[in-house]
Amino acid sequence: MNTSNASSLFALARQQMQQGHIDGAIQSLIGVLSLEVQNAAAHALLALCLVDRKRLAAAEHEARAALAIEPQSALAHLALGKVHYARRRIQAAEASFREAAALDPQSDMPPHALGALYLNQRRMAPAGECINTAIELDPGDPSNFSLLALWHLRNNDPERAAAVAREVLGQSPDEHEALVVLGWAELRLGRVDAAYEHAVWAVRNAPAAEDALELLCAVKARRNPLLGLWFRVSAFIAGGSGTRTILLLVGMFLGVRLVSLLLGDLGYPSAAQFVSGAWLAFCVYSWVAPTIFQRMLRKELEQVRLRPDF
Amino acid sequence: MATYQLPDEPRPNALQAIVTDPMWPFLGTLLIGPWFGLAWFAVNSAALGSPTLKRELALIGLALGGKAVALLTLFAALEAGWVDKGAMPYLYLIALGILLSATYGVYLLQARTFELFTHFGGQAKNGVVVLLVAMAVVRPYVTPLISGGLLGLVLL
Repeated sequence: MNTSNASSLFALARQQMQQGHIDGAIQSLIGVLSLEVQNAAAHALLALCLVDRKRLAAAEHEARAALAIEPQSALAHLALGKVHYARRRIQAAEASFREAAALDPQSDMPPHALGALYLNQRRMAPAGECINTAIELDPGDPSNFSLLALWHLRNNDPERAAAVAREVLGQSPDEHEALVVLGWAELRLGRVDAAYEHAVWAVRNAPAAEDALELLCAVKARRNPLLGLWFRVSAFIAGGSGTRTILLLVGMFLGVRLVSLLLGDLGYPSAAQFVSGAWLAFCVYSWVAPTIFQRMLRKELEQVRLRPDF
Repeated sequence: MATYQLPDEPRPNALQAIVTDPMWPFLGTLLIGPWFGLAWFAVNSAALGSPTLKRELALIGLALGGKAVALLTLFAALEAGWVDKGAMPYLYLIALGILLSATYGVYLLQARTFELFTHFGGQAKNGVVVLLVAMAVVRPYVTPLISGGLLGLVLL
């Protein structure tokens, strides 16, 4: 009786996870574990849900419980890897994902997780390899293609990112990640109205999703006369590798100092002062604008609170 | 039937409670001086439990060491008569460029870890108070202590 109840609850939890009802899935998995505390898969799935809900200590407890019961479980290693990553233990996360991949070489989940990890660390080459491996292992999973679209976006190629995301949405119109990536790509390409449409679509599908709200906020900032300029400048400066960003910022600073010195030496002290003043105003604006944007985003996030049993 | 219980989340430790957006240490470097901003970067990195702590410390060393080496080279060139005194403000930009490039490098590395920290629910302190207090109170006392000589030029 208990086993059959636990199986039904476990199936329900999987369904709830697929539909994004994470709080419901947590309750179902607690139900499973109340009946069968030695269920490693339930502990591992619960760990994944808890990472999503940012309850990292509980998530780590669950992932380790899953591994203690079943040390050869790829899902448990995957869950522990996600906990390590959330706790900023990048090397440990990488090792856990690799272990998961070794234990279940036919699953696309470990290379997908590794690809996402490398992408967030701006390690573009290994990220690309892992994403392609995930696509080869499961060409039917739209989330792998969404990650590929994100890879193109971070690789400063919004055109290709948009093309891949559109292809994903052609197959699965409600794929959340693809919608968000397409919105960001449209924004980078200057097509603000299209970006807005995708942001609204993403928020409508997942009203509490932070990435969708961030996109919506970014579109609003881009349309705002005060923040629009900062948004364009920062997108240009940050769009590329870290080295490019550093060279651009330091180059701008040194260029201004050089011009200011030259103007002073050539007998134009007022012009030199004007250049320094204009640079200072730009710096103040570039410090204030992101703070205003973050405040807008926080306000937007605070407006959305779903009941845990939604 | 007993319901399965999840463990409670522990409170953040004392070090995590002082995490701040790396933008503030960066502004500290520009507005107060490298001695203050780079030290703040190092503390923030430790508080964040940054996986790139060693690289960040190496970049901090590069920022200070690089600026010192560039300044020593400039002074040696001036003494040897290879450069004119009037060119020194222009050449000083090279030393400043080295310091700033390494500092931006630390900022970019730490910003990624900070993004992860806040994404997973970490609460950051607003660094503006520390910055203002340091500008108004700390800087007037510390600057005279380290100004003058190569050390002052590197750290201020």
